[in-house]
Amino acid sequence: MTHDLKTSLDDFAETAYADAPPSTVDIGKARADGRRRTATARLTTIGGGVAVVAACALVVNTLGGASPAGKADPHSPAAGHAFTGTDPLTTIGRFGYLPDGFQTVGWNTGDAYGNAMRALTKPPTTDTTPRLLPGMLTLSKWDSPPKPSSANQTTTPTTVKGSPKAYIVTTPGDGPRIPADLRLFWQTASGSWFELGGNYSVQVHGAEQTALLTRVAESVAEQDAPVALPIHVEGLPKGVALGLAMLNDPVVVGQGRFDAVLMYHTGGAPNKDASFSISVAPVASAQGDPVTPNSLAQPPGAPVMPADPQAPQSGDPSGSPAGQASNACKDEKGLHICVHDTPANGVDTLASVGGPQGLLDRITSLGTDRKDWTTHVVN
Amino acid sequence: MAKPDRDAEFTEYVSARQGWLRRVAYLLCGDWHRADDLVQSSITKLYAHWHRASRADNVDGYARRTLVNTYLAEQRSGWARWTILHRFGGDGGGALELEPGPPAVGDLELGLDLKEALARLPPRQRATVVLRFYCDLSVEQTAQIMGCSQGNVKSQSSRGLATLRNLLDPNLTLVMEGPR
Repeated sequence: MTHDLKTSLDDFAETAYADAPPSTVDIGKARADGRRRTATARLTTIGGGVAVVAACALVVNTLGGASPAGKADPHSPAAGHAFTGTDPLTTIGRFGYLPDGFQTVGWNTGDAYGNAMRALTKPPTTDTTPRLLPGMLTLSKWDSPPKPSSANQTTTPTTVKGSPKAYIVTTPGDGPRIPADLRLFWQTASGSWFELGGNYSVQVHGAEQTALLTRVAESVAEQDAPVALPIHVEGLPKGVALGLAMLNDPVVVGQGRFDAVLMYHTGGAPNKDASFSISVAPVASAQGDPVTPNSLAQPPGAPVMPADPQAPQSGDPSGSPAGQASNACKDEKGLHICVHDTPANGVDTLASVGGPQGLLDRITSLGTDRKDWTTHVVN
Repeated sequence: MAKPDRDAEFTEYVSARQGWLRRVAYLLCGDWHRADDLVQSSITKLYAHWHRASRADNVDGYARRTLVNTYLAEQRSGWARWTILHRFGGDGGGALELEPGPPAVGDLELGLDLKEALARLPPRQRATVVLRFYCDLSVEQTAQIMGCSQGNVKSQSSRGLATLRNLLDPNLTLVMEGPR
């Protein structure tokens, strides 16, 4: 299929709707229940009732231990390469403490999605064990404190050691079984702001969750360090801005596979600009294209690209015609590397380097062994 | 008792938009029966606030917001976690469940269809993807509906798209939809 994600979702919804069972929605019941709800709300107001969200705090032994957050980082700069150049992917910080089992597995930076890093823990794998959902902690960095964007969110000042200002933003739950969602914001010594939140592998709510987030936050050190990547690019087109650099490597907690993406655009709004991207993943994980390879790559309304990026395409050495996306791929040293070109507004960012194939030819694979990766990624 | 014209107005609106609400609900939860429950719950809330909703510049936006909030609130319930965990093997936001489920889905088989791929997104990522790409909302609009920052929408979009890419095809080239 060659649809973008919006088209795919439209098609999917329409197809599913055509086969949907008859609606059980009862408008009359909604009116009756709505009237009761309104009446109850009035009574509650009159009585001065206070809704109580009872977070069922479980004793969580698994969060009691400390993960070796400070151990050697598998993504630290590698040695032994003769490359020169810069690294578009840098860290925003470093976790000094993580709950037991958590490891830092992902980083992203760039003007499209901001700067963040993620820690994951591996879920249990045995069927006989009560299953714990995968847990994730996400640390984001901002230049200014984000504003609560919803009237039902509350902001509560709190303390994070070493921070001049910190607060918890709470999105309330709904009823006794639906706990509130907490996110911790704190200002760093440099004046920027960190945000910490996430899902947990176990049920942690209320004060316990606040304590956990605070403990992790107090361990975070600002760090602007390069993250080693599995490719080297010898010569990018001139005049492009970084939209996204990302490495996702859940392998360190025994899950999935790694993948990396670099995306550059012409410097305006990333969704409207001409852009190109480079994606990298292990060959072993590269398979067919069952649904919408480009759907995830394309903003709504963006040009449609060819169906199968797995099938290496020659690419037009002169650059693809403006307005028509194209890509080129290769397998090298165990990596499947693709360059995807999305011209827009008559501009093709890859025209000066020979189109997607031209840029692909400038990319050197460093293989799957993290020891061989480099921080001299782009020259 | 509500005024008859209010009831008529509400009934007319929901009758006309029920199909759309069901589609959005289905994209959010992936199950028609549950989608109907979501719509039922949402229009009940909508009726309770119809005096405000009907005066809104964008009644559809109000209804959509109610629907998404209902979905997200439900995701954090024990029932929803159980459903997600045992039916889809996804991440419902964190829960300790006592019944063993099917094998853990750490394998992330490739070649999944869009329905199953969506089902494996955590709730807020899924809602972000539906709002951004199906409802065609901006980052700002999505942030308002979900009650979070625009940065949070961006990060949820980023993670959601990355997850979908992993599930649907490992070679997808991630291109930003960026702020609008």
